[in-house]
Amino acid sequence: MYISEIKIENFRAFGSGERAFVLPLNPGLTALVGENDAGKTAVIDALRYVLGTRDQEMVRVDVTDFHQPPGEERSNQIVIRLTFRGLTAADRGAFAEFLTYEDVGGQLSTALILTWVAKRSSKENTSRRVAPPEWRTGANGDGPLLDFGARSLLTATYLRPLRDAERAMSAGRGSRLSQILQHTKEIKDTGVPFKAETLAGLDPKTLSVLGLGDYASFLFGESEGITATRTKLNESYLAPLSFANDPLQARIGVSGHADDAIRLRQLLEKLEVALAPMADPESAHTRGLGSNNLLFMACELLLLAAESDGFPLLLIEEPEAHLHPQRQLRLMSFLQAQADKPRPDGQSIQIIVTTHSPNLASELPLSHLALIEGGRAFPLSEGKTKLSKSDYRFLERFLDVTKANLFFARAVLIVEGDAENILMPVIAKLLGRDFSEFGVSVVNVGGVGLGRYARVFMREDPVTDGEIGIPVACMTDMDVMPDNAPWIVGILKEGEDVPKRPPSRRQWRVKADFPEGGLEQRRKERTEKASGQRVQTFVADEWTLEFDLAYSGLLPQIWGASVLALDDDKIQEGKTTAIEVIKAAVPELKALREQKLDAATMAAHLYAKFEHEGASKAISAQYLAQRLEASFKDDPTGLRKRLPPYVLKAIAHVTVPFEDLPEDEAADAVEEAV
Amino acid sequence: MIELLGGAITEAEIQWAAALMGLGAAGFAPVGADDSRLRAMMNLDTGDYEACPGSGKTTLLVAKLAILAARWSPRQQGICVLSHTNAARNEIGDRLSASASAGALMRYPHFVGTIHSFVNEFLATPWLRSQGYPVRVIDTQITLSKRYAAIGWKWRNVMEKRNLSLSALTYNAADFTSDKRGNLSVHTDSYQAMLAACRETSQQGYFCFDEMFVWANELLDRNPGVAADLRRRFPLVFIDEAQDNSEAQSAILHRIFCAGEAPARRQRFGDSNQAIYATANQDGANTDPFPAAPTHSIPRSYRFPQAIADTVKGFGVMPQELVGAGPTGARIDSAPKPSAIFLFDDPSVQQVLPRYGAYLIEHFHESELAVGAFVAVAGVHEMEKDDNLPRAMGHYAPHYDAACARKESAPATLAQFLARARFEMEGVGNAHVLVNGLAAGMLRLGELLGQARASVGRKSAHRRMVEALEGEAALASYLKLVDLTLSVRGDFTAKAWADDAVPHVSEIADHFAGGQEVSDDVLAFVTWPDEVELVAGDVAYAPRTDNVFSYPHAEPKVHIRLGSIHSVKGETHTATLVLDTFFHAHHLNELKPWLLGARSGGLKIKAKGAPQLESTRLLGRLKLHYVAMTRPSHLLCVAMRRDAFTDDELDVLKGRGWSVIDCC
Repeated sequence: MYISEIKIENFRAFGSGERAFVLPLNPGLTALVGENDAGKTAVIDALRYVLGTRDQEMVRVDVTDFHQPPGEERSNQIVIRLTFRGLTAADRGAFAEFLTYEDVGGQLSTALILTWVAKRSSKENTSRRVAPPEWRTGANGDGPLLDFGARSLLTATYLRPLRDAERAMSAGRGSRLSQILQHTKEIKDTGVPFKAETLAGLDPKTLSVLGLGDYASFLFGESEGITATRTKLNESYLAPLSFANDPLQARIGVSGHADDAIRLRQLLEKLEVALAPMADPESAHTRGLGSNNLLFMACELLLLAAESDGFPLLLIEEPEAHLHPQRQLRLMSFLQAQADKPRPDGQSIQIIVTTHSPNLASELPLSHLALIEGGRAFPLSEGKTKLSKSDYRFLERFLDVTKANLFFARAVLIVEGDAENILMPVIAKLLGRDFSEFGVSVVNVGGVGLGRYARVFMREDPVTDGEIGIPVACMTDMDVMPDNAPWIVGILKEGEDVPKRPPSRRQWRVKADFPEGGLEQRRKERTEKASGQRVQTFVADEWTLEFDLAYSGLLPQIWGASVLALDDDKIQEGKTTAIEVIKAAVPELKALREQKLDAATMAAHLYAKFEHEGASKAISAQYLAQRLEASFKDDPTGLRKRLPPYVLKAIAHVTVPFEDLPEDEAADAVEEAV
Repeated sequence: MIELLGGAITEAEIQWAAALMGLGAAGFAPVGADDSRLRAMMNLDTGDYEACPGSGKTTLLVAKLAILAARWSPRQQGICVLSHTNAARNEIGDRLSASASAGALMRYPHFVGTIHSFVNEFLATPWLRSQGYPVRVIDTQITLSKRYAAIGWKWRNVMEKRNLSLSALTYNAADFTSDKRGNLSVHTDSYQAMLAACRETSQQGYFCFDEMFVWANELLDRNPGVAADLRRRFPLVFIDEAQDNSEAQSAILHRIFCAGEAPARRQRFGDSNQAIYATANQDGANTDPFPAAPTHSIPRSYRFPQAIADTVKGFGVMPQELVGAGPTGARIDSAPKPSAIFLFDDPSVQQVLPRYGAYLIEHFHESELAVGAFVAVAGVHEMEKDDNLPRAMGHYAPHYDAACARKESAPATLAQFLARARFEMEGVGNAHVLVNGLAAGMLRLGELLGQARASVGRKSAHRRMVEALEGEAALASYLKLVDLTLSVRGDFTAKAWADDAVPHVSEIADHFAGGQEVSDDVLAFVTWPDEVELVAGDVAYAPRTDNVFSYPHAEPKVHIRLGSIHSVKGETHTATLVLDTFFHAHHLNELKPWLLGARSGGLKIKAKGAPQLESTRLLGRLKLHYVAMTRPSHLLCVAMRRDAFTDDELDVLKGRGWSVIDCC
């Protein structure tokens, strides 16, 4: 069976009713992603409270665990409800008296619904602030209480964040390793016990682990040194201290507890596991934290996979801790393989991890991710998001590490190209909207699938599921050029006409292609590809980012950047300098200016640098970024007046709205733009 | 099964278990050629055990369970032990708890409980809850009165006119239809009104006991896999007192554990000669009746001596070759006494109990009188009419309160709750019985005042009471009441009740009532019975309302508990007096040939043709009195009318070892 739904009320940041936390889960592996303080750890802790953990560590409900809505009284009751589905025959037998039968399309299916309730005493000065929790069953929590024995079948394995694997794996009383080894079938069932009678001809290789321990104890007892010491202790020291009828006798030896299980435990507590460096297995140097972490997880999985009863749930907080990126990927695919592999008893391991690692997030299919945001859970599985089947296939292939950081952002700006990727953070910072301050991730999708990434953040059913509170802005080009531009940017030669469509299959468009509001229609279609909820697409007001920047008031800056980009190689090689390149470009710009062209035509001439002369948009963006930083460091208003409206809107969407410009400055801006 | 346990049960384990039961290591060892108990301990296969009265089958069952519990390692599979009454369940539970490992059987994943609670817990309530029916009260009485109130006066009139009893308001199918609504057609408005009342109260969470079987069977119909799941959970099933299984119980147990492929291992213990039912119209099981092959006999009684064995064995419908190895392990340590018959006529019927008391004082030492269990039982204990003396217990003991002795139904007053608790506490002294008796009474009070409460679940009544009052001022009152009850051991004088207890009871009642008016029913429930005024004259005994007859009245030396034969099933007494009563005819009178030794068993030997079973009614009389007469360890007495016997017959009785005592 597996946990198919977690519902948490009044626990830490999670409220109740509408504000309750609900997370549907699929079998296998689920990764909880989200920024800090979103509530990922609270989910894991909730599971630990309800199910208990195998390390036997007691977690006690604290008063601060009870949710306190801002400005209101702290709530008095935490309710955590887990719904288990996919029960095996053994599960149904084991939990027969606790089951709920659900009618799914005329077919009865069984579920185990467990409701954990902790109550807080509202009275002051009571010694016990939190009453012992109750484990109830039944769809409405009105069924019998879950017995301790039944609860113990549900115990989870929990790996804490920043665990000290070396300590967990080292020898000592109650060590985790001894606990794990004790339950390993091979340790218990291999070999024969040691018997002193069979000493002659004893082959130590045939002994069981406990047999070896007993053999060693036996040898200790026989050892000359120990016997002699004991005799001396008994005869010279204890004898004179004894009463005649009650002699004191010392025994020196390894613990000789009569119970096999206890002796085995004591023996295993003396063992430790360490990883040896490849070359020299006996080397005294230990491996680092990360490798030991892997070892620790391997041991826990060994135990979990070997068990033949109970519910195998593995909770890992930040499995990426201490691991470098490739190891993280190896670990994630290993965990997935473990989750997919059924145990002999028909159970599959369910794994829930929390992570801050884009590496891990990118390795997993989207359907295994759940975004935790603002005290709510947003599973990204099919049917829950606005993503189509083909979107899922696309994203599984293309959602890589760099893009995966969108899961950990407070706001996301999705752009189509390198130019936006480079320029937007710089522009935002100059406008006092520093993206790193606002936790905005810029994701560059490289010209394809802009809407698909955005739709990750759109819920299929926002009324019941709620909206993801992360603002997402998509920036895209309008891709319609002024009517005179085809000749300026060199798409058409002098004298050629704009080919008629059809039969022409040209991809580019001029404004004349869109008569009678067609332009607005195109803008609307582009916008609607990914808009709604907190997602908003911002379409370039005119044509493309470069064109629009030039058109709206940054022509000189971007002109300079484009010519620098054209000569970038030479500049880098030291054959020329930036200043010389700029100087050389001045006459061309001056000549154009003298023609008193309108702004659009001027911008089209600038765009020819990219379209016709082949300037790199990415490199010119870098030069432009430098220019902007130099020119507008202390002049946010000046920059703002020169920026295209859609750029400003996109920045406002992922940060905070801009205040209105003072009237005269607004007038200036309009004037300058015209 | 052997694999699950990791090997067969060994003799060493049996010796350990015998010692644990206080029988000594040889407790289950063969006696002579009789190794029936040892074989019963070893056997792990499906089988039925015919265990004679006093054979120690509960001890044997508990010993066997103790061994299995010590071996048990699966965490999600368990042993299922089913009994008929909560009393039997508690006995098994108390004895298992004596050993740490065996006590584990009382917890998950095992089940020890009544058949009803099993069906409720594992089938009916999960199914009902899943359909959104809360399960608040499973109690026929409460549920029927709720339905009767819900149905409206118009339809109540129809019921009255048509002579329909309250049972017309029960159902025996999940669509709330019933075959107990006379010849009303389903389409009539009155039938539909009854159906609607059933549906509505069920949706509110009120159910009659037997209706839980309806829902359990519906779940099995809808989801046959449940049976397989339960067999997986309980690969080993023990059923105690299997002879008492009704058809409904037997059928559903067969369906859950036996029918079809891969049945569970099932061992049933019982005594078909003791098959008596709580109500007269109840019949034994037709499905999977007890005993079924393979049947094993455990004929050795450790309760009574051979003399009693010889006297009673003929009363068995299928007489077992009883071996009387008792009395052993009895409350007292003296030789058994010869059986006695008390003869009386109309004027002297009330002298029977005093004479019995005197007879006991004569035959038992003072110390034995203090610790022994002395009982008088009657086949009929409710006085419905005043004719055909002796009709019922009431003719012998006018102050006998049948309601108080009835184990199966709820006591009618708070005083009766406490009286029953006092009885259950007798000889044990554990206070929890008393506290839970009080709490059960208070919960009942809550129900009468319209408080819904879950009658399911494993929490004790006291625990539920404390939870119900958590954070309320009434909690202090309740705890004070508990304290008072303990201090007088549940036995209030009328004055003490009125002065000390009633203020607390009222406070709790007010809390439950929540401002609504308290009805007469409620007042009657909490009223303490008046102490019966002694009738002037020479009444030589103290009438008591808790069905104990103490003798002599002035300075009681012996306390005789009065009850129905049903109420003493499974008990062992030092002495039992079986009183003749009337059901269509006088019971013992009808059984006179068996008493005189002229007849044995329930088969009629006809002049020609195969032997034939006696009428159902006569078989019923035989079983009932077999139960009654197999209770005593030391002394068996019966009381019959003097005019039932001729002098010759009395001589026959004397010749068979009976002492004849004439009370006339």
